Amino acid sequence: MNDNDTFVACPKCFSYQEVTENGMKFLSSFKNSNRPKEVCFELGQSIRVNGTSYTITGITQRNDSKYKSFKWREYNLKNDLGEDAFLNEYNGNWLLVKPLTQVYIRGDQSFSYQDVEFSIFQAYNQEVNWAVGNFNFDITDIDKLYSREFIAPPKMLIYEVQKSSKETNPEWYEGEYVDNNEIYQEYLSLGNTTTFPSKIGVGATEPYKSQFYYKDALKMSLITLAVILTIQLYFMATSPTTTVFRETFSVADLKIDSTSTNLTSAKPIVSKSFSIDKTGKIEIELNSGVDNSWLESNITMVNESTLEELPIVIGNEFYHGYEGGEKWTEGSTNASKDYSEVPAGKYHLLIETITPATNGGTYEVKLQTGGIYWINIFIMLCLIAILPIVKYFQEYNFEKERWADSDFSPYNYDEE
Amino acid sequence: MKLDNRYKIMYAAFLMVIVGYFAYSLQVGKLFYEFSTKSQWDGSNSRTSGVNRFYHK
Repeated sequence: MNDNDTFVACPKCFSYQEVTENGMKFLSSFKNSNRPKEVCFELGQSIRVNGTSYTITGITQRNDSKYKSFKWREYNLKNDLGEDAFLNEYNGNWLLVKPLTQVYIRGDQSFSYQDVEFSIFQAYNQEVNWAVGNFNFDITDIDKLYSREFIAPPKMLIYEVQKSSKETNPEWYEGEYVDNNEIYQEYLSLGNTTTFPSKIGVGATEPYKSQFYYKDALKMSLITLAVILTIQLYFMATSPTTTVFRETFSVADLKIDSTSTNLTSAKPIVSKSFSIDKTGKIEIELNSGVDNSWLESNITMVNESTLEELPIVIGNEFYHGYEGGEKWTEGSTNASKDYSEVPAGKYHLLIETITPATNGGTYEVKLQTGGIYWINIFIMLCLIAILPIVKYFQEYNFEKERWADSDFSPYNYDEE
Repeated sequence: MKLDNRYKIMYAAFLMVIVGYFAYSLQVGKLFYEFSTKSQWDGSNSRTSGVNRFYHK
């Protein structure tokens, strides 16, 4: 027992007494049956936290006087130099708290301390509902402690004041998150038989730990975006669209199919030769003057060197009318198709066109090379955005979970 | 930013591969998701109107 300790919660008889000049004065008692199952260390045990050895001088379980189900455990610690510290545990998340001697802080909601921005996390009156050990104040005085917690993970600043003092003489404490595995190793080394509290949720000051953070993914993707845009601009400049074949044909020149008096013959027209200078995409267009009718061309693009054939089916159909007081149209008088990776070389077309024999007018076949597929860059943008988006939401959800128990959460939980 | 762990290295490698493939796609004029353009040459996407396929041969 220390000189300043004036209240004792006996670990054997569980009575709570005040040390007075006239001896021990009985105040109340805590039941052993009320001992929280989360208390995993015993009074007098020595544990090492953040590199410092401490002896446990007191253990309490506290709760928010408003939200009574919010209970946490506090181990009063003293190191070899006689300095006080507190090890707090809530839902298996641990916090080592030390008193601060000189703090000049202004701001109820947020403030900067040592160049770090702290935000208010919780404000509450606390009660002690179970205790063992020695204490330097009356832990059962429920009117005594009003606390405000400010966090900047992994740090926390805690403001405590006696309510009766009207916040004129606050005490400040600084807390730092302690990895639960570190405490668990201490628990194992002591061979305690009590249950070690399982970690639940995200601790108020738990830092987000990852091998790969959102900002890293974003930075790498932005660099890649710059490279992609440069490549895209280069190919836009060096792959202009060029028309290599364009010819207009008359429907009247098509013969009537001997097997069908209604359709033109599919006998092919052999086009003049043209060259494709560079392997790449081609786009073939068919434009016609069909009116409430259709026209279809079966085009074979023949490589004159390799005799490879690229079969293309392309058609126009355009219908319109007036029905129910409204005009309607369907289809179009032009169509286009594109083909990828067509090798450079000399080509000609075999064009077989079928259309109702009653059709007149002309139809035009046009073939262009060059140009780029814009969908490629959109796919790339999607691919490079996936990981930053995933990482962003991982970190967002982590923070949201951290603030879930706070009355000051900046997040909205209504939808859940 | 350093590539100081395997996750960053793996992501950097992934980005390099897709950028390379993107540049190749633009170079040869193909769609990014079109890993093979052979099917357009075998006629499977053509000749739908019963035209005599061998007429011009």
